[in-house]
Amino acid sequence: MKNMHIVKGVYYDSVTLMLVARELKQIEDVREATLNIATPANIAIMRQAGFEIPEGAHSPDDLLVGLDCPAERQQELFQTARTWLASPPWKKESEKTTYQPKSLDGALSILPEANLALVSIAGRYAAAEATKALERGRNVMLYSDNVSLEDEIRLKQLAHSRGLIVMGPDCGTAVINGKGLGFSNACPTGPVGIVSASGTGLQEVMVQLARRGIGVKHGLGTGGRDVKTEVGGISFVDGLNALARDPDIQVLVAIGKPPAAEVRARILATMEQSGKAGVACFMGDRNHPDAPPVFFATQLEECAQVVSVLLEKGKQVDKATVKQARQALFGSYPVPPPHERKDGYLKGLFTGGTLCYEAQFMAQPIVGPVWSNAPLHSEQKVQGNSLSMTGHCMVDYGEDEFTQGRLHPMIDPSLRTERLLEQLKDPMVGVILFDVVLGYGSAAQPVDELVAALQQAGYREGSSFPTLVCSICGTEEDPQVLSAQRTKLKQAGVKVFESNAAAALFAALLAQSPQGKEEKNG
Amino acid sequence: MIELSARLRSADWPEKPVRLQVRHRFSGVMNLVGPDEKRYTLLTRHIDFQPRSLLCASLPAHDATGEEQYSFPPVEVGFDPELRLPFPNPRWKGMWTEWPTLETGLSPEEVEKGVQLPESLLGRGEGFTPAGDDLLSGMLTSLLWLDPVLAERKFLRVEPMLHNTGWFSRQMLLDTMHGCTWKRGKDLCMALCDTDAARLLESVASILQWGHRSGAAWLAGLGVGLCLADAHNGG
Repeated sequence: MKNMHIVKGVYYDSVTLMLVARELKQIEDVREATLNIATPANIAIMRQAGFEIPEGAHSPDDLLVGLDCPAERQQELFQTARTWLASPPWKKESEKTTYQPKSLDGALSILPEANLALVSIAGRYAAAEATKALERGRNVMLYSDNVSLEDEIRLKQLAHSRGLIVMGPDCGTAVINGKGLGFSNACPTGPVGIVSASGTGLQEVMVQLARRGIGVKHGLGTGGRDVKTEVGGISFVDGLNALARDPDIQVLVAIGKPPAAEVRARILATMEQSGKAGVACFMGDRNHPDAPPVFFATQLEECAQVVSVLLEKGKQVDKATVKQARQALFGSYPVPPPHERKDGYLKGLFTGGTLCYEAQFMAQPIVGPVWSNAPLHSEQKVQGNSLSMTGHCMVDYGEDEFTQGRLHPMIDPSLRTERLLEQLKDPMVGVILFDVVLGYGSAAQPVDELVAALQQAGYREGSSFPTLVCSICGTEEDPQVLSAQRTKLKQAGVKVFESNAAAALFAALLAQSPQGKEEKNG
Repeated sequence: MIELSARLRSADWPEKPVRLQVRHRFSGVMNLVGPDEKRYTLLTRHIDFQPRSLLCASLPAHDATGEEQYSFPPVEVGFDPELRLPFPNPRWKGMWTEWPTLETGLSPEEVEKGVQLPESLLGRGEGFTPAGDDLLSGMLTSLLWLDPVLAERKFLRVEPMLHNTGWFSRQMLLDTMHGCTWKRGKDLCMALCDTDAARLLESVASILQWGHRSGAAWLAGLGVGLCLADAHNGG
């Protein structure tokens, strides 16, 4: 029996909610357990899972506890959930024997020399904490999302006026002096400095550089809105200037979706005046002719390829050499044999927003319009609920609509797994493309749940099921170990690539628009 | 006569044999009551030192519950419960201002009321020493340390109302009123006067290991008192 319990006016962090749900699912008789803050997106997801949620009986300050278990155990298990929320039994004894400051001032009293505060709290409180940090002379990495545009502009102006930088909001990845913050991969330190308006874009470029033996000293995130007209690229330009002053850095890299025209001009001018070679990778951007010392890339792996040439050839590099390197890369991307092509739509299910965007950019010229909740063009935005995937479609499960009161899918990919299995059963679907992002901060076992579900569903490569294509963003040194994840996926029948661009190209070439079938979700 | 295998004593433990009666017995601690109705404690871990306590190699093995004469060989003082300290290092203000919001089992409203009317916290909460009493003990410790005049004014009505809590808590609060504290608390207060961050964090962690929530409540109270004294003295 599926029953919904509403707890009014409480807040728990999403990690605790996930862990309590996971523990509840271990109990005999519990078929499903889901705990979410009552945001519209979570309500939609829970309703779709079969839980009845009355209209208007809740607000985003409430907690929804959905339990699928025998009726006579509902109250007992609900009380168990409440008890575990109040005092998680899995809390390590060591947590009791150490003390972590609970406030910014407490932390600064212990570590007064710190020059960076990482703010990761519910979005509605994050701007106030970030302001405190700036007023105390600290740079800010604002991991929290759901921070208003007005607050972002105010924070960045305050930071700029004080010679500081705000990375974020929604900055999930940064690298300072070779040390990763948030989601990051185990990559070498080296002569590259990156400013990125996209988190997984930064991860993918760092991973691709690592595969070429190249390290990154600093990778500064800015949050995706920084390059919009309203914010004006404040953090992006300040970040580039800071990297330009660093004598250890030989090549500057700028990563993001295409910026607003005036912001692009400011970024490029800053790079040109830096005295260093640079690569601007604005994914999906129109092609710009290389203008040394600044070179252009429209894909993430291409960006890494160009950086490797710049480092190898130094300031003597010419446009022809870079062009050859690009051609070599694109020529290495596998193409599926004609007999493997699938009659059906291409569906992409992503945990990394930039990887979703890049995949659309790669696929659209081949399959035609791709719908998305984070589309290349606004007219291709999925109408209404992003859970229903129309036509060729790619969904970013890390978008705000899915992460309010819920863990980011790179930490908890269970929702993406559920949706992927739905797509697997759909006869209109020919190819399913997805990403797996490894590294610090990501799920410890990112593919186990999916692999088990595929086995249970009887998935086999080459069967009537849609073909599964996946890219892994990660290194052998990551905690999840690249080769271990690759092996699991391959054994499950998934076609695995180590570049998002290559995977997306392959998936798009596999998919052919369904003929003689009607779109179920259309 | 029971001979104790003593190693060290608190400065206020009587030097001569004393008649005591067992009140509580735990795995590493025995609380006894003396002819003056005060609590006396035998303990086996140095960190658990408190007023009128004796550190022993082991606790008496018998199950005596009646009044007995306890004696011990002459031993050195291993802990002085009196708090005689300089002012705390203002560097730690950011830390102590966060302690009043620690999870103690008391509601924010109860704590807020307790700051205005300390007697309202007597005996409030669960535990061997109710959280309200632990919080009062911490609060009184810091007020007596930094602002005795404010301490006297705030706690004027507490002593006559001590019957509202249990014997053990009453003893703890009476000791605090006489300027004495437990070793974990004293270690923390000394760390607050120092500049060593690691020492302070260790001391806070040690307090938090005290009982189920006793340490957290005592720490919250200490923070309340530090903030009150700070505000009273113009920040």
